[in-house]
Amino acid sequence: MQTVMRTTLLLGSVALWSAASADTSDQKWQSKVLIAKDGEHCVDDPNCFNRYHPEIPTIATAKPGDYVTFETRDALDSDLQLDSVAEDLAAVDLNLVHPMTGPLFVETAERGDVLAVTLIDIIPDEYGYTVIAPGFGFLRDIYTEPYVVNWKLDNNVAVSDQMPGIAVPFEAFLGSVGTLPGEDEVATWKAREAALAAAGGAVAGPEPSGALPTAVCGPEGSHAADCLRTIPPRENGGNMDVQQMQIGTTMLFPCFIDGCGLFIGDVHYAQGDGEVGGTAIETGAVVTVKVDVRKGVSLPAPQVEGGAQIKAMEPSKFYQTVGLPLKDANEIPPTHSYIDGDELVGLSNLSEDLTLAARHALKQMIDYLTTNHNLTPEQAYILSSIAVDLRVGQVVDIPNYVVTAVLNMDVFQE
Amino acid sequence: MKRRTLIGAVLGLTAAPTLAASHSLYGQWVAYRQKHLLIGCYRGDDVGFELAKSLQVALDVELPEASARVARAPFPGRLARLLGTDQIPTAVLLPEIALGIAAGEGEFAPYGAVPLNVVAQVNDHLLVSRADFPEHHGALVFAALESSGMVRLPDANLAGLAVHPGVPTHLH
Repeated sequence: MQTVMRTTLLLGSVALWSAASADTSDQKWQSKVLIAKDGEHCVDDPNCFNRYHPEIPTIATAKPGDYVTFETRDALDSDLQLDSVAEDLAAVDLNLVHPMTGPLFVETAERGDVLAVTLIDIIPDEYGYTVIAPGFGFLRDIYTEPYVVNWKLDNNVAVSDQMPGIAVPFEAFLGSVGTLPGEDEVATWKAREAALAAAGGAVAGPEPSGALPTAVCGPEGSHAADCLRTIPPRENGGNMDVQQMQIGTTMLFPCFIDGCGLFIGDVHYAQGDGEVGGTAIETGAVVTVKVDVRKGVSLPAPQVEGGAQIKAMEPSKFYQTVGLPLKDANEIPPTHSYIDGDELVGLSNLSEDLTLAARHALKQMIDYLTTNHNLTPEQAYILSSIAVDLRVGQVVDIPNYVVTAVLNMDVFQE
Repeated sequence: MKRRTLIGAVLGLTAAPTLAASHSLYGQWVAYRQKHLLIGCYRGDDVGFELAKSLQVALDVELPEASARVARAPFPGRLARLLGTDQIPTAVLLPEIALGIAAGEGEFAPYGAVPLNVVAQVNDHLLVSRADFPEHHGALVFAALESSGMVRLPDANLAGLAVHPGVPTHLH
């Protein structure tokens, strides 16, 4: 009897242990969809594209409430790596910007609905980069040569041998996320951008070379002249680069085609408000979102629902510069060069001008960083792109609106 | 006219492209690639990378108006694409790679044939250019590099590639 009891107890222990080994991992309720990465580059990957057009075929389907995982690529679809140098940046093919994963067909979604995308998780690659690209960035007239900083990433901080003493906290978000435009949107946006280009504005028109998918957007593609570039954000979202869209927030997008055509890419490991250098800490990542469809509501452009994410991102210590719309007489910043006005050149103070105020604040911040933190101007510009937030102070005190630059001092290691 | 003034006037590699392209997105990157004489090479060819950097240094001395810069592609195919789409005008390559790119064969088949000329020989490598690289540009680059002692005349039809027409005609 004693033996039986012992055996019974032993069996009971095994049974309990066995149940414990299964623990909670065998209990499933989520409906999941995986859009995997395939091949080294977007051109190798049937789940990747780099232009916007409604004829780009969706490559996966999800139901409302599904959890969808997107394996994404870096913004430049590049081959940059931990030992990359400026010469490597000079050879980047700009026609490949930005590789997007998708598009996803969401069942029941129709044109006119709102697609709700809740960001569940971002797992970054182990490598990321921040670059100064000639001709790009807020101070492109000052920083004219290629420059690369290579980052080692984990889910805590980013560090770089090229930025000693600095550790940037993990505050990842989706640089690009949105829905495909409809035929009407393509026509409208293409026309307005062409008009702006004709007026001298900074616009990239359709570029079939390097465009994906080739069958739709390539040089011989069915809609080569109408596939929109991914660089500007538009009413469908896209390259918004808004860091507050953190894990836990819900992004709302207008749906312009049935199924919406959700796409995701261009993950930023960290970025300051403004992304002033032109790039954040750019990386590929595995991104999981939850999708839902909202009927009976419509939006003119993306909007976001959030909780305490903004509070969590605030620095524990900061340094701030105050920018005013001031410039040197005879100076025309590149941001203003398309404005046709002889009076602009001679003025040293512009009226109600946030762009110029931001430039003033940023230049002061770079001076502060080079003077007080032993950084080169290039390092200071890079750090400003990923850890300095441009913020509007006020837009009422004419003529001098204020933009400040807020440095997150937490990036400096003890 | 001084030589460098002549070069600056002939190359026209400074202000004009900047003004022309400054208002388009990435326009100044395009201008960067026009403003600077880019010398391509690719990761994996370490000798070619070092030679390209040496040529840049030599051009900085002999032909500063060219404002030469090195651009290293991640792999040979990407360099073929950059040459073929006129994003980079010149490159330092091993002869067999140059021939492959020009013919658009083998690993370069996806990029199509990219007509190339040989501007100079640099040790075991070739300095090649797109076939439409202007004759006077080729002449100036060759003359500058020859002055530096870094390069020698290309053999006629070396590796099956035509010598650039800017290289003095009596030499080929």
